[in-house]
Amino acid sequence: MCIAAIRNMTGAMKARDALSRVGIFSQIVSIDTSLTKRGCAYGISFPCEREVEVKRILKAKNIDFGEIMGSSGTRRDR
Amino acid sequence: MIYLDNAATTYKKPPNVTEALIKWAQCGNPGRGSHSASIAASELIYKAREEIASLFGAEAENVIFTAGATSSLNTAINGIIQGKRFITTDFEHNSVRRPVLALCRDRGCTRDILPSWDTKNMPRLLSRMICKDTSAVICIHKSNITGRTMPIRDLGKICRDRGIPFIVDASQSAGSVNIDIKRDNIDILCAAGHKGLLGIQGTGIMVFRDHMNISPLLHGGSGSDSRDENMPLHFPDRLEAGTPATPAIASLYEGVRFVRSHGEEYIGRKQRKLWYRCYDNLSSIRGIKIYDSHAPGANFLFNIHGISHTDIARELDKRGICVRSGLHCAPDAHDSLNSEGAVRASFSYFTTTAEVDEFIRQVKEIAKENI
Repeated sequence: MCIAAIRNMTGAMKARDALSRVGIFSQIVSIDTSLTKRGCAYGISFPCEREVEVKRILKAKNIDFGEIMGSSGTRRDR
Repeated sequence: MIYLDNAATTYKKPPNVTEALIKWAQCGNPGRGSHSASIAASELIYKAREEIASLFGAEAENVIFTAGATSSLNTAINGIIQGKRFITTDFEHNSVRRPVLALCRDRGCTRDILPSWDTKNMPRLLSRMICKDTSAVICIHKSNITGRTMPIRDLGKICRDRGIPFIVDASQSAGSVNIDIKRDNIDILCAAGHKGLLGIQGTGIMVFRDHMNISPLLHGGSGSDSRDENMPLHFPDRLEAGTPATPAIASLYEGVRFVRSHGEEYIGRKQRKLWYRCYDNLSSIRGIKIYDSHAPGANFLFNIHGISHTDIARELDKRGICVRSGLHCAPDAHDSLNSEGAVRASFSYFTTTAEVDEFIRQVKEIAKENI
């Protein structure tokens, strides 16, 4: 699973709803504060193979997201 | 008891409202973790945001939960960056009048008053009043003492054309008038959650058309950007410091669902019918003065010659009818109506014709006894 960092819970909820509407299962997770510059943040985990689609949907819905990480917390390109 | 003080707070609530309150009395803290209890509460809060956003044609993240309309209006008025000069109507509640006057006193701001006795003329007057220093226009939508309704769409259009934030106090209209924040040219809508939206007391909302650069009134935990010394820039977190009132928001969610399922227009019509019933039965009674008699709505404001408004309300209370007398926290509005206080009977979705008939009967009797 991959994780898209989203700065607040409302954004994470909105992202989860948007992905669910196109059949992408995602879950809200907390992101380790050592991985964020600003402190507490949330993310949504989703199957890595849907990454391109997920990025497209989040952008289309104006959901501000940060880094895409691997499930182990390793950073990936946005 | 016949409760006719719904402009202060609606007394009867849909069953789901009180059930939700009990159901969510024990819950996790929303937006403060990713454990199941916090996520469950977050989901509820998000659903409530979405429901309210749908009611007003807004985006969920632009719905802010507050402790009430006063809290919402104080946040909006004080949060306008570099506020200098404010335009308000002569019908504002103290939740607008006092924070604006406090800014005039403490920060040297100016308040210009837009008269509302001729609502059709208000847009023209507003156009003339706006000047280069005008920071915001703040306007009550429906009066809290009579049925007077301000032409917010036209006023908002003028503000939008001139690039001035338009703040609307929809405390009396939310839930009984269809409002679309984009169509009606509103930048910030403020409302109570415990009146026409049928939530419990302790709830209020701000609904933004778009993200705005607004300074928060409260600073504290937001569950996001914790290392930052300042409140986050993003909504809703920027204006929601501290733990939200989750059980109260759960009640508001159910209240708004009820309103949406019945339709605001239907609810508004129901209230106006009751107003007309009062008007038709009382306007011809000698000694009874009805204020704003051309403006039907949820509030019926009157006096009886020869008896003080306080005594009328006291007498009605003795007869099992709750109404509110005095200035209703809107002294400027009473001044505009040449009233030194009056009696307000206000209706909700749940007010019945039989209740209003009993109110009419008792008012007639009091008038007869005193004239």
